[in-house]
Amino acid sequence: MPEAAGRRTGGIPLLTVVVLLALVAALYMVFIYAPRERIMGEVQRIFYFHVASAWLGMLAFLVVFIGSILYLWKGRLIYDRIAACSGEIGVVFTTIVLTTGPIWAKSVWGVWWTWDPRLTSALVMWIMYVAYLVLRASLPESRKKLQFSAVYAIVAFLDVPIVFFSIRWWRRGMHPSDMTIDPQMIHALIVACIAFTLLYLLLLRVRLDVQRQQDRLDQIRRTILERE
Amino acid sequence: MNWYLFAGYSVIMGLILGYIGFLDGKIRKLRHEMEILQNELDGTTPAPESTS
Amino acid sequence: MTIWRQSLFIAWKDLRTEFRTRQNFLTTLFFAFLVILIFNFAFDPGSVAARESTPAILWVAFLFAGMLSLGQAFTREKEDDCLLGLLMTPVERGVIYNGKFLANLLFILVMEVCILPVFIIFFNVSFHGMFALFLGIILLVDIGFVAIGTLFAAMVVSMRTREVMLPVLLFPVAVPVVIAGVKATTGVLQGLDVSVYANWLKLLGGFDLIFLAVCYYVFKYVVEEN
Repeated sequence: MPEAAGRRTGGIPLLTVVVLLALVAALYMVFIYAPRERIMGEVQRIFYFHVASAWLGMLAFLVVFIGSILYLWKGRLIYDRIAACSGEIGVVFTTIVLTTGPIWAKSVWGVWWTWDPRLTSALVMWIMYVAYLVLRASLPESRKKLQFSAVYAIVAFLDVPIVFFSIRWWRRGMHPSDMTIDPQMIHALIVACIAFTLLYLLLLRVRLDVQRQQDRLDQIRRTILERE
Repeated sequence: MNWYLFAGYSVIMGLILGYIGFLDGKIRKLRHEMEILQNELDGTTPAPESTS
Repeated sequence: MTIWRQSLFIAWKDLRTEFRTRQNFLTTLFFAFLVILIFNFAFDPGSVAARESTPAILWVAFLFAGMLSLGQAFTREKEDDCLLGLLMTPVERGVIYNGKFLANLLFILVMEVCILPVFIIFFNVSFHGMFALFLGIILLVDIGFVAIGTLFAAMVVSMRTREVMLPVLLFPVAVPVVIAGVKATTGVLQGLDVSVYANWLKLLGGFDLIFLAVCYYVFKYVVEEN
């Protein structure tokens, strides 16, 4: 049985190599290919992975939303698992956005937190998905848990654009609009986004494998309990 | 050397590697539990059959 | 038509139960009163800071008290398996949601109307002849807040950690409602022209419609007995 833990991992080593290559390429683009920003200087190089993480957070939460709808619709376990694993990864990447944002802000504007619309929206989104994970963690494994978390994920994702608009009207932005954008910067940003998207796919893949093993273990335990 | 840039990338690296470490820990724990279960089963499998 | 009659019937049942004891209502009312009072001590009364944050204080009091009462809405049903009985009635799940929603909404509205005079007296509020609009804003905010609150309250009722879980789930999603409510009431209390804060009213209306519809449809997934 322990050998079975290595089963179904086909493709992961290959994907890992691809992700590592993409990350190296992205780092090269970000640190060497892209020019130094004229006003903000070197710090602006945080921008590439900051934006890539923000994109990934949104992508991950979109997957949570779709997975949750499919789960309620079709009732298949795998959709719930995809949603849950994607939510976890989304929280990790939104955490990157929320920590690199203040670091950048501190060096450019001299303050850590500016209640800037996008950063604030990311914060609210982060809180919602942490609540999603807390909800999952505080319910025992059952159909109820899967349905509750799917319902919450759907409501939360529909709320995201409303949160975004309300906060944008609430505060006018401090996001750099006066940044000088060179074509090379765009190239670097695109490569960073691609690299992170591949990283997301790899993480999701591994996370789902872990979840599958966990489910198998629980299944075996239940079978043993029933037999006794 | 820009310290803010350094801090930013340290945080990014730290979080991603931290998450990978978390996954690794989960896998190890699962393997371990699986082994314990296997050992238990090896020791007790005949029992339910003999009683039933 | 029958859907509305059935919904009203469930709402009526809830309100009647509540009216018999009045315990829940009075404690919630008292709680809202205390929140307003505490804020009076926290700010220097009559200062500019206190005057500018008047709408914020009002909404903190309303929404915290509202959350408390939402938490109670399904707890009562849990006793003696009343919820099971309610689910066995030959109505759609959405109708139960409607009924619960209406009861909660009415409960919170009455509570707010009772607390409003205290608020007006304590903070020397003037409405610049827009009192009806002010009430309309309160209604719009409450509809949105109660729409999602009823759904989440039904969800957490079976959990051991329900007292903590309800705010954890509810407040992040309610952020737009809070911002819009505070912004719109600020507009009214400062006597601004409606066009200045009309955006917020539209946002509130949109929020209410979206989440009433969504919650109506997904409610069946949170009350299923399994």
